[in-house]
Amino acid sequence: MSSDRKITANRNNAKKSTGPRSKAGREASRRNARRHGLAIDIGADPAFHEDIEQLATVLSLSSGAQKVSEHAREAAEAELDLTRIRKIRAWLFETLYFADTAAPDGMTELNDALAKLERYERRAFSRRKRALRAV
Amino acid sequence: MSRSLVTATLIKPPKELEQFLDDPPLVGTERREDYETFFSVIAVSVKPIDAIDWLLLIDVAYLSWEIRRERRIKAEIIKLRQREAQFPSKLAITRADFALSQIAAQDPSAFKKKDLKPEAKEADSMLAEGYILGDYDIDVIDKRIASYEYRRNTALREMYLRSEKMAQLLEKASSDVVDGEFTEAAE
Repeated sequence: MSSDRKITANRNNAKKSTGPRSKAGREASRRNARRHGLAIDIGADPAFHEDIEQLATVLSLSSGAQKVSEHAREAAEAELDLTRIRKIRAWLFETLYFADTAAPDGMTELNDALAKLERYERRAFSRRKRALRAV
Repeated sequence: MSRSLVTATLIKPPKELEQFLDDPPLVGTERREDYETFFSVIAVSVKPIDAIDWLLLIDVAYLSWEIRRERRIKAEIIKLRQREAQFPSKLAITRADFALSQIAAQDPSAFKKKDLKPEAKEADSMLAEGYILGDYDIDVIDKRIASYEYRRNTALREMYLRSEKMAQLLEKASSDVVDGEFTEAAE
């Protein structure tokens, strides 16, 4: 289980990262964000700040904590990520498989897209699990 | 939807949590009221206490719903491929078929008429052919179901760490709903 100190250190170290350096790496990284936005840390997106704080407060109160901890924030971020992922999964099923306009090879495309989404969901799920245990 | 599910009282997550949750992730012909009833049946038997209990319950309900959907798609694929096996394309010809037609062309008397008739396929054989034709998609769906089941079990384990009794109720309620419904659909 990561301590608050370790989490803070990891975040500080991550801030020092320069990200992808090569031109190809930067291009690929840019495309990731354009595809579904899941590669972006939700905590770094100002649009989610209020939701994260509110959900973190609900989670902290539920575990009897007096103030909102970093773990509660992390759990809230991961939970909101899971909600986004589930919405994207439904959209993929709808457009690639169930829609009348779905291509005949839609199943193959759907399988590929869901496999990619699976990675994000697995990560968000275990991140939330760790954080909730520590709240 | 089974009769017992329809009569359940609708239960929703508490307001302070509900604002962060999106609409149920429904697709195709899935109906909102079915999901809400499905969710309520699980929630009513578990009676979550706090927000974390609710999050774990939502996970189990969501993943059970996904498992149910994937099983339905898998059944559809098998049915579709079975139909393909029943009515194969006239253009499809194997090497053995070709060799047979060559022999028959040279010496028609070598084969009795009934040997050249297509054999009536048994139901089991058709099912097997359906599986073979759809093996890639079926395999991918099975992997996805396994992955949902893994996460569902993880959520149940987390619930178990908080309350053994609640975890048992959650496991039983969600399994009953998924398996019961699926058996009913298959019948």
